[in-house]
Amino acid sequence: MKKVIIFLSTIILIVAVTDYTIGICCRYYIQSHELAGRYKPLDRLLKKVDTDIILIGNSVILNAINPQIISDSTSLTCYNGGITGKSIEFSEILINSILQRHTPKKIIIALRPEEMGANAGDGIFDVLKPYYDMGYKSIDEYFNSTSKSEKLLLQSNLLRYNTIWMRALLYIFFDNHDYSENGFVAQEIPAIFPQIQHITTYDLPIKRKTDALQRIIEKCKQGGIELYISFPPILLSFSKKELPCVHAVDSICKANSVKCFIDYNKEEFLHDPRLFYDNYHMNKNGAAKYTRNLVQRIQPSYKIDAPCQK
Amino acid sequence: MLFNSLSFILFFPIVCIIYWILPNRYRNLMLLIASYYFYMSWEPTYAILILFTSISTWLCALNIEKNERTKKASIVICLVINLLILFIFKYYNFTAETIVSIFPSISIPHSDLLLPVGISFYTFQCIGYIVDVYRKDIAAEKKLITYLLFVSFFPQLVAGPIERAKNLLPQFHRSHTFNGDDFIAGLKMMIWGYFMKLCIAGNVAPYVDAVYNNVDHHNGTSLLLASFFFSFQIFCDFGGYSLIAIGTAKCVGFTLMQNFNHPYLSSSVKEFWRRWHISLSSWFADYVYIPMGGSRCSRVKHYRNLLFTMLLSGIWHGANWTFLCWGGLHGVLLVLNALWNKLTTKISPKFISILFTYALTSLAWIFFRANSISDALTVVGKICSEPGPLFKGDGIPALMLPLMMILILLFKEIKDECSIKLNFMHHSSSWISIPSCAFMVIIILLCAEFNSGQFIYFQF
Repeated sequence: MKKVIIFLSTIILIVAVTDYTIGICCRYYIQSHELAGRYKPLDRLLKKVDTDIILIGNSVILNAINPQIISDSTSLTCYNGGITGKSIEFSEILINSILQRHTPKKIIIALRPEEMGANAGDGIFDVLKPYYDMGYKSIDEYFNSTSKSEKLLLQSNLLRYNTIWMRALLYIFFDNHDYSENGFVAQEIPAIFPQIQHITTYDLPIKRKTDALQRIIEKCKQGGIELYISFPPILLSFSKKELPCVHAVDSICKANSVKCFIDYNKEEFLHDPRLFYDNYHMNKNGAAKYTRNLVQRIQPSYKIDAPCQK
Repeated sequence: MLFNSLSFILFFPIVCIIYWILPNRYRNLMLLIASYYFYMSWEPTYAILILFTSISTWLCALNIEKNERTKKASIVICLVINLLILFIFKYYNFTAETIVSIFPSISIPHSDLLLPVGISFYTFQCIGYIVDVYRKDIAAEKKLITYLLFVSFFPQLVAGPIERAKNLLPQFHRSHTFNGDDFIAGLKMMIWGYFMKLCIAGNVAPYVDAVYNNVDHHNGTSLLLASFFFSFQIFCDFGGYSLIAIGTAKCVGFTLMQNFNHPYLSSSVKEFWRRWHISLSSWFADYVYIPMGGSRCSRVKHYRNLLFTMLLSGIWHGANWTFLCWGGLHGVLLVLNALWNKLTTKISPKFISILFTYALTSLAWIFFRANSISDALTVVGKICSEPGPLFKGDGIPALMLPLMMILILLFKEIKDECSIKLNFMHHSSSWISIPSCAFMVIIILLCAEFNSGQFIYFQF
């Protein structure tokens, strides 16, 4: 029994000391350096971005809206803060954290048509863990509202920086610079264009997600920020004409006088697979076309023949 | 309850403490309660199924031993009950769909029954027991509690190893005394098992899923890497589970059979099956292959036996044509292996044989992982003919991390296989072994993918 006690207590001691040391090192690193690679957009949004327009959403917006085109035509600075696989609730936390430090003039949120549904998933919030207890109120609130066990595990630095530290470290050496300075990722034109897919099923909106959107709208109203909601084009055709999830978003927007651009089935895009990288993401040509189209609506004085630059 | 869940991390020490505190005569009952709790935390109602299977097998075994006249009827009844339950829950929909696809005019209702976790494992354990009693290899277990525990013993309940009655049952009758060395050895096995499951299988899974769920959009290079990753995902997922199971059992004083023995260092497909999922392959050898005649018959019958056993092994894994194809492919490889051995005694360098065997088994894994046979053929076709830029998934670091972990695994596999005396976790000096174990725990906490979900073999 003595052997077992010595074995276990020594392991616990070594792990605890390492945990503490790693905590100090990682905290210092995150506070003083910008994370590279896939962590760059989140890190920038939380610590640095101070543009007039901020684009928020998942990979749909990341590949669909080119901030350079918006800047060139509106004279407003713009940053694409799309983060792959993230949900509306994640966007809410992100917006709240940004507003703590900087108030942009406009925010554009891009959504997938089924974003508000239960099957869309909630996205993984783990990437926010390194920013817990670092002064971001909404991030702290989110993790404080999770289960007791989750909160307890967050006290461990090893778990908090789990997988992130290693990847962040490796990105220093293997950053393939997908992200441009304005956050936009221009998807290449694929060798084979994707084929349109027909979707016969549809999802129903869930309250938790629509509530998150409602809170974002209220927060933006309070801060005097112009908010736009957009459903960028995708290469999917839905058998149901009006999707319940999209309808729910549209209703909330109408009730709050927020402009909502329902473009996911826009004919000029739907019939042109050459504008897409895959069924959910546009390629750089598609992004340029859609961004020009979008700017016209948020800034009516914009000229359609404005130069397209990356 | 998953081994990689927080509830198990709490459950396990509590079970250990209560088990070792209790007097010997109450320990089996306590383990039985713990085992049913472990199983019921997934789906409480399905505990009735495992209870029914256990009791019916136990009664039939007693009757076989007691009544020579009706022993044949008893074993038939027992096998029918076990296989019927397995069929209803696992193969009904597959059979119905196959019949409907052949005869579209027939309409067969679809079953919405959830597949009970570990049903194939405990059914096979029960079948093995009843056959052993019938053959008089072992005596029927008289105590119901002991038999219920034999079937439901929590470390090996949901994904094996499929224990033999002659190995496990006597251990429930023995009085166990606490042995610190065994306990520590069990913990070390668990640590390595967690490393395999969480750090390797968990980290490669997102890439494998991303590529294999959309094979049409990926080129040969990405499919090749995904297939390479999958060969390690399946090994580390199942091998990791087995190690955690064996380690957990060791901590409460039980020795379970080894389930994996460096399978990717096999120099032939035949050897691979002696090293991969040993408890299942030896089960099939003892209860299917050898009773059919094994290799001690004409050459044609021998090959037929090999093919049939492997097809059965394939369908055991899942009610899907891909698994059947995987089993059939391994059957063909074993036949070719036997033919090759008959034709030549020339042995190629071991290193070449190992690489060749790994390539063949990885080829078979493509059918195991693919969502359909046409997907599998697309993967094979693209790997052979369509190179291109690598799909990086979540980025190069997301690929580097599992690659580094695979290198650590390969280092250990080769070290153990070649009996190189370079021990860290198992070093005789505590000054080296304890920090090495602590280092592994730190690596797990830092690099593990905790969202990797359940073990692949749970679905079987």
